[in-house]
Formats: sequence, C-alpha cells, structure tokens
Amino acid sequence: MRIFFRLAVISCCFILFCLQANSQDQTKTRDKYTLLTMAYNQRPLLLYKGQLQLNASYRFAARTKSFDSDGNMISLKDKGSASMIHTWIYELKYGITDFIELGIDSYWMKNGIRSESASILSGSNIITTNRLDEFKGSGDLTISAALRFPFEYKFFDFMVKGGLTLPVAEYKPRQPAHTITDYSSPENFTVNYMFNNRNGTGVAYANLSAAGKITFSRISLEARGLYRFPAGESESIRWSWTRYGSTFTYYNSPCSLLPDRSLTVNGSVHYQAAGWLDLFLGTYYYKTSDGWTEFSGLKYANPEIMLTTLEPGFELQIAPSLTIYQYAGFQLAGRNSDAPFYLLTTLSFNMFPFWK
Amino acid sequence: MKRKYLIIILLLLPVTGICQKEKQLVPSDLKQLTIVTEPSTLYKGYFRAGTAVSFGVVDKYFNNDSKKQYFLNSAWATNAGFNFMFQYGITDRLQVEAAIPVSLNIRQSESHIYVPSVDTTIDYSFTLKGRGLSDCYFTVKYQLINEKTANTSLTGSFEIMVPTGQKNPTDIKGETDYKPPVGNGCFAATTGLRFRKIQYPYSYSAYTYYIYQFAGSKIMDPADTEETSFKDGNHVDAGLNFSILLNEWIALTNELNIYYRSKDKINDQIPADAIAPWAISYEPRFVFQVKRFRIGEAVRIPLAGKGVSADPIYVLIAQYVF
Repeated sequence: MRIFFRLAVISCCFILFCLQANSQDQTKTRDKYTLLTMAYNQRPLLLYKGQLQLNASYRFAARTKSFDSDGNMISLKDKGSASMIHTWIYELKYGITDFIELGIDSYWMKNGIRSESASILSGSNIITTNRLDEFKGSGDLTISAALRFPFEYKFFDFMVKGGLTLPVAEYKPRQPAHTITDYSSPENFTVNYMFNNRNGTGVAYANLSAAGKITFSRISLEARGLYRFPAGESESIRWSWTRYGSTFTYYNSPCSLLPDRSLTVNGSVHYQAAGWLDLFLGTYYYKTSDGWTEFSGLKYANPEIMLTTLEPGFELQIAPSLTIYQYAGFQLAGRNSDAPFYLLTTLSFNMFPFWK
Repeated sequence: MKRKYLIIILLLLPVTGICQKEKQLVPSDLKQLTIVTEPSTLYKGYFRAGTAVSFGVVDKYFNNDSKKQYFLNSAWATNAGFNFMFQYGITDRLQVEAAIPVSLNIRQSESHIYVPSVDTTIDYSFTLKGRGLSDCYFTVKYQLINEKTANTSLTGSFEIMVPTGQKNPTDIKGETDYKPPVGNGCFAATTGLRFRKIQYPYSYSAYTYYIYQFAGSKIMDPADTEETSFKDGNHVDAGLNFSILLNEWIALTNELNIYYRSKDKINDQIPADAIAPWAISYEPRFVFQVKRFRIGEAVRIPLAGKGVSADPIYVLIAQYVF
C-alpha cells in the first residue's frame, strides 16, 4: 500500500512538472518601454501601433569624385568643381496599427558647385570668369503609407509601401546674381557668374517600394527596393542675360523637361552586437532612366545615371525614446554620376503619445 | 524573554544585510566619470591622453558685410589635423596639460588661361600642401572654487602658445610651388575663467578667455626675401555650455561661442583694409564614455560673423584616463 502511495505521489509530481514545462507560454510584455527599446533584430519593418517616430538627419557630403559615361572615376578636385553638399532630412512616421504605417518626409539641401575658372589674356589685359551653380532650398514633400504582414514579427517580415511626392517645393531657378569684380578697365576685370537653382522638381512623383527582413539570432538581412516615376512633364524657365559695363540684364524663357524615373535597391547585413547596438553593412544601387530636357525646342535624353555605394554604419539606442544612426557612404562604381563621400547622422525620437 | 530578544535580533540581521548601501567610489570609478559629472580638473595623480582629429573644407566665408559667401575661384581646400592632448592632475585642484597639434592643409587650384594672340590655352593648376608640427599649447588650470563642496567650480587657466610650427613657407620653387607654413610664428598667452555647475544629469558652464598675441616676424608671401614684422590682434573668446547625460554613458553637450579679434598690425601699423573679425558659432557634441575610454563627436557650426570662415569643422575625439 505504501508503495502505491509513493508511486502515486511521484506520478503526480511528474505530471505536474510536465504540465508546468509544457504549459502555454506567457504572453510577451507589451509596455511602451519594451517596444521603444526593441532591438533591431527583434522588431518588424514598420512601427508598432500608436508609435510616433520623428527622424532628423544631417548628411555631410564631400563631392570630390564623379563617374563618367564609361564608368571611369574622375577627380573633381582636378577639374576645379569639387563641392560640399549639406542636406537636412526630416521624417515623421506613425503606426496606425501594428501592420499599417503612415509617413511624411522632406529635406533641405545646399550645394555650391564651382566650375573651373577661365581667363582670356590679351596683351597685359586679362578677363577672368568664375562660375558657381548653387542648389539651395527645400525638396518636395513625400507622403506614404506602408503595409506589412499581419502577424507578430518572429524572424521574417515583408512590407510594401506606396507614396506620392508632392511638388510643393520651389523649382524654378531664381534670377542669377552675376557680378563684376576687380574692374580696372573694359579689358581688365573678373566676371562671377552665380546661378541660383532650387531643389524642387515641379512635378508629382509616384513611389512604390517593398522591403523584406529575415533574422537568424543576432544576424539579420534586409533588402529594400524603391521605384519612382514622375506623373508628367515639368515646365520651368531658363535664364539668359546681357551685360553692359558692370550691369547685367536678365530675361528668361520657358523650357520643359521630364524628370528621370529612378530605381533604388538596398541590401544590408545587420549584427546585433548588444541590445542597444546594431552594426550594419549596406549596399545601395541607384539607377535613373527615361528623362529628357528641352533645349531650343528639341528634347535631349538625360544621361542615364548608375551608382553603387557601400554603407557601413551603426544604430545606437541612447535612451528609450532616443536612437542615433550613423553611416558613411563610399561610392564603388557608377556612370554619369557624382560620387560623393558622405556621412549621415540621424537622431530618431520615438514615443507612444496616446499610451498612458 | 531572552528567546524573544534572540528571535528579534535574528529577524533584524537579514534586514540590515539587504538594506540600501551608499556606493563607495573607488579610484577606478573616478576615472570613468562622464564629461557631465567629472570635475573641471583631473584628480591628483590621474593622467589623461587623447587625440582630436579635425576636418574642415574651405567653401564659404563671412565677408566684411557679415554676409555668407562662397569662395568663387575654382579651388578646393581642406584643413585637417591631429591634436594630441595630455593632461595630468598635480592635485585635486591643479591640472597641467599640453596640446601638440599636427596639421595637414591642402589647397588645390585649377584654372586655364586662353591667349588668343597665339591661340593657346594654358592650364594653370597647383597644389599646396602644408603639413607638420603646428604651434603647441601648454596650460595650467586651477580650481579657484573647488567643485567637491557644492558641485560648483570656478577654474582659472593660463596658457602659453609656443610657435613650434614652421612659420615660413619652405621649398620655395615658385609662387605656386612651395610648402605653406603650419605655424603662426609668434607666442600667445591666454588667461581665462570658467564657471561650472553640476546638477545631475545636467551641467552648465560659462567661460571667457583673453588671448594676447605677442609680436613676431615671418615671410608673408613666398616671393618675399625678408621677414615682415607683425602682431596679430588679441582675441576674446567667451561661451555658454549646457550638457545633459542622455543615459549613464552618453552625454550631449551644446556650446555657444562668441569670438572677437582686434585688428592685426603689420610693421607696427594697422593696414588700411584690416578688419576686426568676429564669429558666433554653435557646437553640439556627443560624448560616449566607455569605462575609462571616451569618444566624442562634434561639429562646430559658424552661425554669424565677419571676415571669418563660414564652414563647419568636424572633430572626433578619443581619450583615455590612466
């Protein structure tokens, strides 16, 4: 009898142990701090429901090289036309649900491109010309909506995104501001040509993109693709001028252009070194096509641009609501394209404004 | 009765065993203090070594009307350098430091000249590279008001700049073929005060420095055969700083700086076209403290000015406390 009693107790203990071991998992905690501090390898491609994200980026680029039409690298420093590009990028995103995200973004960019100075020497007289093409101002505004798989992220995710870039930014070039300096005689002076361009396109763009992400423990792979095409032709102006002494008179004429279609493909490998540190190495492929520009009533095809970039970087969680991203861009190959080295720093502010 | 007391004592023992304890700071902890919490001078016997890598491109400047303008000539110029810094705490209030900068300045100019009379185009290109040891700085800092008592300090400093850098152009083969100097060619003395208040996780500071430039002489133009005497204008440097710890090991510092320099003199006279340059700049900086190792990333952004560069300067700092 005692043996049966002991066996019964042991059996009960064993059953209870098994029950406990095989019981249903406890549901993962879903408080906002857990979600805000979710590591890259554990979070989906889109924001969580109710999450608001504000990203502010600064991109510092040294445009010292370019690729010609044959893919050869050219030193712009040797051509006298190297320049600095300063870009500020703003982005606001909100998670409507765990599977739908809305976003809006734009940028402000400044780039002053000098051309090689040229002089004409005649006897003891010299006329020198300097030229600067400045691109300054806001870019167009993009609104987007994204949709991902309607289940919790485990190790694989996929999303599609559609968007519209609205031509809200100014796009027609402002009147040039040419000047004459060092004037000593009609045969001895310097002309400084200054062209004031803007960064808008003047036409709406449609954006279609898709992204996938797969995680193996600490290592994740991510791929993104974006296709952009303009809704139609853009009407702009082109400035001409005449000079009398030191006075310039400007007049403009209309011109039309069709902005390029573009394809961008990103691929990146991520390593989650710690819960707060993600290291990544990305590649970026960019290609344009089908654009043209009108000169004197004739349409000339824009050169097709191709550029491949390597982007090593990191994501660092500073505080639950604050993350910093930083990556550098090294141009590997291209055609008809500038090849700037750049450093991009992003401060990402995250919050759940409607959660207590 | 004794048994009751014994039971109470036994119950109280574990309570005292798990109660909150004040953390005792040991020397290794003091060496890991962040830029927000560290004292304004190093502790006695501590030694900090590090380097600051700076990079800037010559692209724009504030003209004499305080307007930001591009340099119009087709040139590309960069100013870069390593600044090796060594600091030592003689006492908890007295610190000495030395800064040994190495500069690399490049200026590349490309243009062409067409001569119609002979139907010829001449490429006029040159690259000037100035590199080497620049002028060194030696500084003494003393906490006039000690930070230990109320997390408030007032630190006085005295600095001497020694013209260790090459002051004249060398290897002169022509007007556009020489090595530009990397030194200024004169001594300078700086004295100043910095007030600092720590209110964890913030710290605030305000500072003002006066830099007196001694007279010197150097070759101003590579075509010159004799040195010209000069005296750079004295400077005033003042600023406000606000720092915040974003977490236990990352700090964000923000600094607003005002700089004014009086007019330079050449041959004991102020040139007719001389101006008194000034600048207001803002410098945000991220500082990462990983145990005794510190990495900082900063950008100095000129906001306004007159007769000074308008280009941002990027600085990467790495330091270690021994």
